[in-house]
Amino acid sequence: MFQTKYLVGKNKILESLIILNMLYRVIKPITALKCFQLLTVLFLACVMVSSCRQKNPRETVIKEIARETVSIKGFEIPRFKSATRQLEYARSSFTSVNEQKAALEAVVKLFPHSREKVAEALLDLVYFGLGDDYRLASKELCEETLTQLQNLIREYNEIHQVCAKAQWYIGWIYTDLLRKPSMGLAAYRKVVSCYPTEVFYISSSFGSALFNYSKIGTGLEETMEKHWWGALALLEIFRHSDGYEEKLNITSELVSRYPSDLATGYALLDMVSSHTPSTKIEQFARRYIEINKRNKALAFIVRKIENALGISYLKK
Amino acid sequence: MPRLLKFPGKSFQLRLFFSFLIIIFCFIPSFGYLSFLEGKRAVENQIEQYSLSTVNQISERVRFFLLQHSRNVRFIKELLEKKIIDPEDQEQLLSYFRRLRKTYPSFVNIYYGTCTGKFLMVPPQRPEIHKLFDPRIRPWYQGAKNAGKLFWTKVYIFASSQRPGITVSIPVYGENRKLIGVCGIDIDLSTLSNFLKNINVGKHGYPFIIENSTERIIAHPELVKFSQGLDEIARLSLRLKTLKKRNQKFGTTYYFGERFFTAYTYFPQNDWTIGVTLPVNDFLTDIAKIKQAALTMTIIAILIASLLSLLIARTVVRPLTELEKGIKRISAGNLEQRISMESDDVIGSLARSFNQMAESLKLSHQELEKTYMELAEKEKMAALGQLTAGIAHEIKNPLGIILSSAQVAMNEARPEEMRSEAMEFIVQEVKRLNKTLNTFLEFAKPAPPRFEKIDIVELMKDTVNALADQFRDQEIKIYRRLPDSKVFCEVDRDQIRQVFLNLLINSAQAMPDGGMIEVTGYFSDDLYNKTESGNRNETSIFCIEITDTGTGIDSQLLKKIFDPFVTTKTDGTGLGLSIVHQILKQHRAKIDVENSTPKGTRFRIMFRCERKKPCYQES
Repeated sequence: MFQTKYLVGKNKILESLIILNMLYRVIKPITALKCFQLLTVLFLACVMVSSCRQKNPRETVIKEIARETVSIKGFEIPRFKSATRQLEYARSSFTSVNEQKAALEAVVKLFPHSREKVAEALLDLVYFGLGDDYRLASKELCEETLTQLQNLIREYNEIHQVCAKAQWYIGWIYTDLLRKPSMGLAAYRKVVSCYPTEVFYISSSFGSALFNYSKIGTGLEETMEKHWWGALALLEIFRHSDGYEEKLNITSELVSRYPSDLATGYALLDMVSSHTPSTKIEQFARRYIEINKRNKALAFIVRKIENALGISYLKK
Repeated sequence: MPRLLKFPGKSFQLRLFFSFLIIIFCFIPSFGYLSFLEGKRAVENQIEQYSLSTVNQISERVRFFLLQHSRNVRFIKELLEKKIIDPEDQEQLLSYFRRLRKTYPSFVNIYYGTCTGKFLMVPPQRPEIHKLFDPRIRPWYQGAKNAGKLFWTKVYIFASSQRPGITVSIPVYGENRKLIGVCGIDIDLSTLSNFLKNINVGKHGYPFIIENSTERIIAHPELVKFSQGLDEIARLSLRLKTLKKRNQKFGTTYYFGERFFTAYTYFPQNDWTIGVTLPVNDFLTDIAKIKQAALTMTIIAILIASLLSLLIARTVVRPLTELEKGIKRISAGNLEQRISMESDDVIGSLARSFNQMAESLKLSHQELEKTYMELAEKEKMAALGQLTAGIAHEIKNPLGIILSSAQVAMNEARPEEMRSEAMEFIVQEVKRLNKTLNTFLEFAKPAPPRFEKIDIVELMKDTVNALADQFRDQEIKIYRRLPDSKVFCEVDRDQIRQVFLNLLINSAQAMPDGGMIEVTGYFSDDLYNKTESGNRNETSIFCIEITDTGTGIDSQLLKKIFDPFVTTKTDGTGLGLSIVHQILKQHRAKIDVENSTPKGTRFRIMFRCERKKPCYQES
């Protein structure tokens, strides 16, 4: 091995010597003046070549920004590494509803194993099935949506967050769109009984429009509010109740189970402003004020309850 | 600089060319660079004007864009206050809002909130949000209510969509100017960014809006799409702050990994700053064109100037070279040499002067030759006279002795012894006369030399050795400082031996009471002979010096010591040194003489020999 290497090295040296000798023969007849002229021309050629090389830094930036996309229903949807990011993108700002639907479908298509995100995407898709304005949705469309929601609950019954939302939506469609309050209230009851602790953040369930703006430091992300599906369902039951006692019981349930929810505040406000407040209600109201006096998101409702009670708790 | 100019060597042409090149490489690129800077400054001025006018146009378009919202919200107010649309009729209101949104798709949300907390919006809110929503606590409602007129909110988060945006709202009054509600139109920041995106400010230009109170970027085309450069966008407001501090409306900022020209203007209606960034690279094509043109021109100028300098160098040097050749030829004796240059410039003048000089030199030379011939003739006659006088003198004395001796010998009256002695005188004088005549003949008609390559040092050594005994008797010490190596010269052995003998014997005769003779041999670099072309020969000059400590030669006599019949001795013929001089002349060798210090004479003979490194030996 060593010998071979040595021989190869020796050959290379010989070759180099031969080349050098040839170069010397070529260069030898060149006089100093010619040599100088040749060097000048070479130098100028180097200057010309180097000056012709123009680099555009923007190309690099564009290259970095460019990402892989997937084509769905004629829309080029960017492809992300995680289902969370894909869903965040799907919930961000879109000028076209169809494009947003395509982005949601991309979550289902690209991350079929991420059941939670797929379920969330499917729920949004079901909601979009009601059309641009649900107030104009037909009875058939509402019933079809109800079926889809029920299927979704069956399919993803282990994902309580999605099921709670779907169940609440069932209650809402029955009561508000189909005008079937009895069925709607039953659905709301189911939310309270089956998913009492499931929460939703307005920003996380829908407000991913902060997707870009949150990254440029708007400082507006702090306003995200936490709500309970159970509390919202109880509020709807409260609003559809007629009797004072019934309302009192629901308010009692709200205060005891969801003392920091806005829904509880609305129920209390209704109780203190629409009826002569009983001692019990006043106690509930004071307790609610006491608990939420530092909660900025609930400041307005606290102030309204105070006004309705005719007191200024903060002044006290 | 002078040292730098010596770099190319002794070639005058090269040095001249090099000097030109230095000037070219210093001045032309500097001129090109200055032109480029000037062009760049002109382009940048244009860009500044363009950027400022662009930002003003953008500002105007933003104003118009916002004006659509404010006009429509005013219109809704009018409809509601004048009961054209019943504020209590939700169906009617909803229908109008839908039509309005269809007409203006850029209106993100159109809504009306009553003082009782009812809220109607197109498009609808999500149901879970709608259930918890109270319009009366929203900034647009409170702002309009407090202002009592059209109100622009600052950026806030929309409750319906949780998107950041601004709202233009206006209070709606019922009878007795009692507030019955507030209507508003939302402008999502994404919509605003989209609006900016659709404004054409070049391929890679970006308009943007900053909210002055919070110093945040609220609209930028990059914000409506997925982008990696959001951090960079966030930093843009900081960079703009720097420009504002310097009170500049235009400058350059660095973000997205490149330089941007940035211009801005204030938008007092919403307390915004509207700006635009234009990538320098987009305009760099113009600057690059100037750069390329300047560079190309510089390179072409350098090339042309280099060629011209080469031609100038040649034009200047060629006549000088011709002149040099002419001078050399004249120096070599060709007085017919002339330079033919038909130009009216200084070179032509120089050539004409040279030709005139050559002509004058030729005439002078002819005159000189003529004079020399005459002089030679006179000298010849004088020499002949001198020779004749010498011969007469040399012959007259012996002849006088012979005559008087012959008279004695013929006089029989004289004693026999006296007559015999007179006869002997006659014989001796005849012999002496014969010798003198032989020497004279030798001088007058020397034998042609037979050249052969011999070691001149060895010949000198042999000659000295031959005289060693004689010198010892005369108490003369001889010192030799001759090279140990051989020094070959093309000479006639016998004639050169005679030269050495004559000189050594002369030296010995100059020291009747004994003394010292020093024989020295050396190569003389100072006496290098040069050929006509100026190159050195392979041969060199070998000198042999014979120095004695004798009486020396009178300075008057020293000048003509090699002339015939000149001698310091009483019995000398005065032809010995003349013969030496003649022999050496035939050998193309030279001889000179000087008095040595403190006393004595030094003869120096210079031979043309093969050059070898000498090795000295002293004895």
